[in-house]
Amino acid sequence: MATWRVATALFRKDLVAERRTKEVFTVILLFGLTVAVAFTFAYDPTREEARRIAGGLLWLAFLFSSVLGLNRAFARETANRCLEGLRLAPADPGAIYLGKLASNLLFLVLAELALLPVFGIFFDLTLWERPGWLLLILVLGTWGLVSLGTLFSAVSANTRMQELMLPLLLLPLTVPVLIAAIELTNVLLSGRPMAEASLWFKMLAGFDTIFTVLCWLLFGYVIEE
Amino acid sequence: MPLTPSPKVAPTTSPRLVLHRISKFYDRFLALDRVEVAIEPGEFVVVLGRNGAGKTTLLRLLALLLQPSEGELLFDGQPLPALDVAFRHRIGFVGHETFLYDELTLAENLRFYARLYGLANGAERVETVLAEMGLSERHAQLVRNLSRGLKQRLTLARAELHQPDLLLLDEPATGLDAATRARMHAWLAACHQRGRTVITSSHDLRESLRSATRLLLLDQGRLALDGPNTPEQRAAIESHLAEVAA
Repeated sequence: MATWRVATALFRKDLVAERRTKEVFTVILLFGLTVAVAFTFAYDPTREEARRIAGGLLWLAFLFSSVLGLNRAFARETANRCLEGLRLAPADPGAIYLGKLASNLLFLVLAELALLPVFGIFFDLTLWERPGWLLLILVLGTWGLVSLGTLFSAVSANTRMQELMLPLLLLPLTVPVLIAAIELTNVLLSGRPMAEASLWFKMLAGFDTIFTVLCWLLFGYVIEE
Repeated sequence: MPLTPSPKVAPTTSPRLVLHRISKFYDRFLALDRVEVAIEPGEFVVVLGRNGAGKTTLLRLLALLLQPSEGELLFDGQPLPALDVAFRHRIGFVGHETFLYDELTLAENLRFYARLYGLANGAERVETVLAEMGLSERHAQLVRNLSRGLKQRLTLARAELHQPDLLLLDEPATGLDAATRARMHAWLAACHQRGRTVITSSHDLRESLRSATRLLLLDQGRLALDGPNTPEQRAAIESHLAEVAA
């Protein structure tokens, strides 16, 4: 009960702060736009080529944008040592992780939804034929990135090389999530039945669950001095 | 300016806090060296010492922001880690930083902390502590726009929000002007009179005289002096500090 209370309090607090500053959303969106434009001019693909490579490009853009966004999101907790204020709260420290995970997931998915039409236009893709599946892939893939990213943003916040540490820790470990998310996106864009990709769905959901549980358990140690 | 704490339980209900041979290392640096102290309910303790004497480490240990390297903390006869969550409800901590979110308003910050502590009467408590600190009219102002003195008043409001038994304050007067310092000391004295146990650190002896019932002096992590706030004790501490400075 205390865990739920602290997690929702943190989530609501992040919503209020982000609604006011829009800094996490703006960072993710601007970086994603830059990547989309750069890829378009670098490859200038035909429609068929675009279908084949779009999954990979989309998720690379999401991954790099998420690194910037996650760094920014945790910076809120390190300013004025607010994290210590959270550590004083009478609750399991894992609750802090769950609250930050939820708000990071929401901000990232919203930014990705805003980026999708841009990719659609630049790469001449029809992304909205199966919106339910698209949303499911986005949420599951982003959850994987954010589950690890939230823990590692807390780790990097306590180091001197803050901006460098997060990508160093995060990028290698997100490879299985990225592969599964890219494969699923490719199946979606190719128009093939999603039943063909059921194994990738199971893998992605499995990674998400394992990463979330592990990070939740480890978070208390990470934020201890 | 209304700086009046809300009524609180009688001192006898506040449990005893014992530091049993507490040591704290930062890598190889010994910040606290086998400190042995028992804080009685309702005491107003001022921890004195030069910079680096171990005052901050001691207070952070009491707030459970640090774990001791050796020794044990006992609260009401029980080892602290065993009743961690329950204990956290009973402490209010003011550190060197405010723990406040610059991008939120005063009221939003306090509402957030009220939710963290699961206060059933959260909205009411927020209004009350804002009024106590004379900040009601500024409730919708962003924290980033406040002066240092106003931020410190809001920090005290945050620590007082859940009506803790034990107030821990780490050099709370640092950076405040004389008027704000005087108000803060008056507020602390009123908190103590209403039954709270207050433990605060300071490197200035004069500042600590008014309300303290007990003075502790730390020197290089060791407890050098411990006694009631009497002229003899103050003289001993002054002489010790002068010796160390020389």
